[in-house]
Amino acid sequence: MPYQAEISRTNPSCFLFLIDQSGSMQEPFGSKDGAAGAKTKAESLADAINRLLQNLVIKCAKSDGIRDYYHVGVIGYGGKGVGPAFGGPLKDKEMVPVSEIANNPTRVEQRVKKVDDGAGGLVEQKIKFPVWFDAMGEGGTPMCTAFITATKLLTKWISEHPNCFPPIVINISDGESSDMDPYQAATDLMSLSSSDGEVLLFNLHLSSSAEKAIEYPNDEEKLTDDHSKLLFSMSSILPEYMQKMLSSEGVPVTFSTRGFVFNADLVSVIRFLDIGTRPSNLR
Amino acid sequence: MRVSGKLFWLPKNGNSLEEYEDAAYPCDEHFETEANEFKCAVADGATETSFAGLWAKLLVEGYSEKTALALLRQKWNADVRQKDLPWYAEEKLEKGAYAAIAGLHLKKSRGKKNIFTVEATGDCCVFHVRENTMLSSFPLSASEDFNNSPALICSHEDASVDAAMSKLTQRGEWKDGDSFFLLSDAIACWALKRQEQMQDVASVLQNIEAQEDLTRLVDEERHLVLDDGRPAMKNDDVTLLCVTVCS
Repeated sequence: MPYQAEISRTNPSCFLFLIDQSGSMQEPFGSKDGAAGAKTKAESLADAINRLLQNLVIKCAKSDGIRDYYHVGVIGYGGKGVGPAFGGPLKDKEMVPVSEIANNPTRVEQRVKKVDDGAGGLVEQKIKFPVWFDAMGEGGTPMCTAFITATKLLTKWISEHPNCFPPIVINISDGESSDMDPYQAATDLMSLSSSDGEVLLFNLHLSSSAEKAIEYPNDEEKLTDDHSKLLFSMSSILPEYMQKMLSSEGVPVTFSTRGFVFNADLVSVIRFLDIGTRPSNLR
Repeated sequence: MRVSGKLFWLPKNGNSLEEYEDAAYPCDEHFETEANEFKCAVADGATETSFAGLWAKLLVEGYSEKTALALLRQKWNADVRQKDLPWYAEEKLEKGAYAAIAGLHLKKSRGKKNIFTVEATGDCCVFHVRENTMLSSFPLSASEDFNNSPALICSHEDASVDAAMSKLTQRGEWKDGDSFFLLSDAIACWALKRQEQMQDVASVLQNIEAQEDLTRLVDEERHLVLDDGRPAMKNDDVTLLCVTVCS
């Protein structure tokens, strides 16, 4: 059965994030106007990715340091082209082990979060917030080129880790591909495989409307336009362990449920990233 | 009452001895004692948490020496906060360490039945064996009962897991010559699976006399691939504590 390989320091797996950095990402979630001062999709997504990287680092932290269970890449695509999106010391690096991420944030910000004061109220608490990836948005949406870039990267990575738990690619975008039809490029990416199964490609479409999100569909029934159907067709069926995770959170799943959310709001984005990056079999 | 025992363990394949995160009490390879009461335990520190081996060790010692959980938590916090740690290690400490535990308490009762009590949180198991027959396995009794989210005890009091709520208890009677095997989850799951296949697991466990015997068995079973593609024994830390009791 696929998707059972042990994830260890000698047999790491990888996550690759493809991030839309087109001009429309400068709009807020849910509408093109939004409330004044509201965070843009690009800013919210940058926060979500930085938080995710932080969580990945913490997941891999042990008393003796960081264990490199994963290698991680963040590829941005937008008006400035397609390429690595890390900032600071990791700038221009395509795939890096988690320990390198842990020790090389661009900066560590002080942020404030509200926590329970134990007496029915909330108090503000200062937290450290490491940043590796900054918000950006301009120009078009070269999604097809992003898939081609991902395929090149992962072809090399899998050849170096032939028995790995298959790489998980999470593509996050608010619009349609502006360079070419991405279907073939996505199919090529999904056909890459290690001895433990094919690369998993999940798509997260960010909302530009007030319409309700369509999460983890089993078929195209509720998808009304060509773009959502295209993204559905380019999304992998969830492996069994992810189906179980979703099911335990009350999400209805079947054996044909796909890793796809259409019209995602921020809550949906964070849950998707959490489910998509939870380990199955860490050693 | 005379209690004799033997303890064997090994880390995950690919990990060093220092990276072993189970714990057992007593921690001697062989032990023998005369007493009216005896307590022992095995715990399994969760891989995804930090300083889990230390927490597992504190839990088995605390169970056997009847130390309150609150004091064990204080001790864990005091021990791990001595060092100057990088941001991620500090963040990880805030999440605490987690471990499963199974403890056995044997009591000799003058003129009455001799009673044993097993207390367990999570998927470490205690097998009760009489004349090579497995009488019970607690808290889990079937290989399919094992999953990736067992109940665990956290080193932080405010964790969502309630240690008292998730503790299960079994009481029974022991007789002269009975054996008890305390096992961490991977070897417990393997043993129950073999038992379900009508194999004489009690004898296999009973015949483990030296560390090399356990190492050989575990190595073979980790590398044996079943029809579903999974190894016969999951690659995890393995702990086996064997106790025999005579009045």
